[in-house]
Amino acid sequence: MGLLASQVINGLTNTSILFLVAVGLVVIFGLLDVVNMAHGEFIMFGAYSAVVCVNTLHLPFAAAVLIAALFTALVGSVVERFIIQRLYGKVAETLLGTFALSYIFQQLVRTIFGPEDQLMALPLDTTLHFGSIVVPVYNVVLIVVSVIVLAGTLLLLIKTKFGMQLRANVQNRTMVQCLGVNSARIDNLTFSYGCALAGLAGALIAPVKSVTPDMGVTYVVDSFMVVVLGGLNSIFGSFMGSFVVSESSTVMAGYMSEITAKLLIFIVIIGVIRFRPQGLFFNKDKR
Amino acid sequence: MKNIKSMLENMTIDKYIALFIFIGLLILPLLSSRYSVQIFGKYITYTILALGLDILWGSTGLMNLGFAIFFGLGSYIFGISMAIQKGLPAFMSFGGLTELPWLYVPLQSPAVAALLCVVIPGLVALILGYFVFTSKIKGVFYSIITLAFVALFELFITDQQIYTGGASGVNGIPTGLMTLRLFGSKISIFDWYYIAFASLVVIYMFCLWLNHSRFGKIIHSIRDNEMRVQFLGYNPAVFKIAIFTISAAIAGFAGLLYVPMSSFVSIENSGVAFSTMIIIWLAVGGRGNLTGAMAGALLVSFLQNILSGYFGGMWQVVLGVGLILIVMVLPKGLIGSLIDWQYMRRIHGRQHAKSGTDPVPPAQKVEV
Repeated sequence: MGLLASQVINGLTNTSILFLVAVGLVVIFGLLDVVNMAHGEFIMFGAYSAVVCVNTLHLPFAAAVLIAALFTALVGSVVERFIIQRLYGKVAETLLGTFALSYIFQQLVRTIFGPEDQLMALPLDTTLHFGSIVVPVYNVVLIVVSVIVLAGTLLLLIKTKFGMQLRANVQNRTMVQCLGVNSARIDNLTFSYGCALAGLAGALIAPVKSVTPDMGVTYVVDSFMVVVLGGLNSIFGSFMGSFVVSESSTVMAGYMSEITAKLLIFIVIIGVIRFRPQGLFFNKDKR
Repeated sequence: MKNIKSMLENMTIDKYIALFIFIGLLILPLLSSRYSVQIFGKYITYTILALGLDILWGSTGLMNLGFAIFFGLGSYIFGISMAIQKGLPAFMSFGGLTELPWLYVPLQSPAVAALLCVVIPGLVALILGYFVFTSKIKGVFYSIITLAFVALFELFITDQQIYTGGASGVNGIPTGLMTLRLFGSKISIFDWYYIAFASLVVIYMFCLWLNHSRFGKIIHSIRDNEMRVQFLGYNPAVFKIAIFTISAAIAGFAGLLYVPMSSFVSIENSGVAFSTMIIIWLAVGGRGNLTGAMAGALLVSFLQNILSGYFGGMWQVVLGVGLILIVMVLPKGLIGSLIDWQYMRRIHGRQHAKSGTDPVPPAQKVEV
């Protein structure tokens, strides 16, 4: 019982990490139809900016997280302006272009910082005790932040003027342009926002995961699976998708090898999208 | 004689380049050292692999982001078969095994192993293809599933240290290769080179025939307009499963040939990174015309060998910038753009005689 309960709580932490990592991809992939293979590298940028801010500049961790998000948003904006903008609507080309970007980004970071793991002290290094179960406070912070990101992104998309223009832009681009909205600017902001979310995720996971130039590769595959499972354009779906994937893999990993658990989940996901090819929470109205 | 002359004149530029590549590879061992024969032998297996992906991605439009898995299966099966020729290899006995796992018993015979190198990847593709293509999973979702599949494969191989050598790969292959006999004599690296070369020519011819056959016409139509193919009464799933199986079998065979060239098998040539590399070869060379795949594989591998010597890791930046330029300026790849250029020139030549309107390049719709 103790094992199960602690695995469930670990699963929640992993859910929030996976959701934070994947949500930026949902924004970019779901709304712009860009298969961003460099998403992992934006996460890596976020993690490295946080490491530099905390270890070299001695800034507080919260400031480091904000700076990381702003920095990746800036990089994303530049990348969109010069490369992605010319590739909209061509899925294979966006995939190849972002592949190329991930090669470049990885190697640049490896040249500057070296291939070794960057260490970062855990902020809020205390623990909570629930009976026999010990939970680090930082894990609670991760869960809270991921809920805030979920709510914030949903509010941004549904309640704000920008969100309305963005959704309209996805549905009928020409009409939006006729109404005098600069749709190229909307695309740019959307891409930057997705990248900022990746940077935020990278900064937040930097203290608990290893920070290396090729760290992004591991996250990008999982993120894509979450997006496929949860539904291409549904933010809430990606939350549920990451919940299902991490909770089940973490709970199962307590009883069997992690690889077996991952394999089982892969089979389940293929089974699910066989019957719901658009994902569990695909929302037709938003397209 | 006249026939041959007119045939040569009508040949498209990609066929010329393919011919040039074949002649170059044929005479290469006469001019160079043993070391470069080994290197280029490796590249030949890469070109076979690229041909396998080209009939899948270029001809059918199914972008597989995990294609190295089939190459890896082929090379692991043959590599392990070679490693167990003289008793248990080091990675198994260190892992605590005292006798051969039952799964590996059939691999003691190299002939059976060689057969399995083709059959097992085909079978894996058949099963995965059945699950994916009989449902409504389409386009980029197929790509993502194959990406997840190769990531899992990589984890699995690294995890099963005792059976696969884990992250350090399968060792002890050269001693196994020494025991192989062809017509009663040992197989030298030159023999292997020409075996690989002959296979490349045969597989190129096969792919060419496939593209021009009835089957090829249907898979091209699936790439261009799947719905219309359905309206005409075909079941696209059957054709997609078939082409996926064929291409996986070709990749597995390439994996087999890779073993004697490298004498070493590891996850480096079957994981996510290598799958990406195969995609890059095709993007650089161009998809759907076979020559592009071969030229891309040769060019990128050759440049990688040369440039990584000069620049070290910065080679990746050169590759990335080059790829971005190709995607933005020449989306059909080098050979695809050459074909277009030649087509426009020929049309122009004819139209100057008739002074007609501006020609339009041939429809080569290549998408995911």
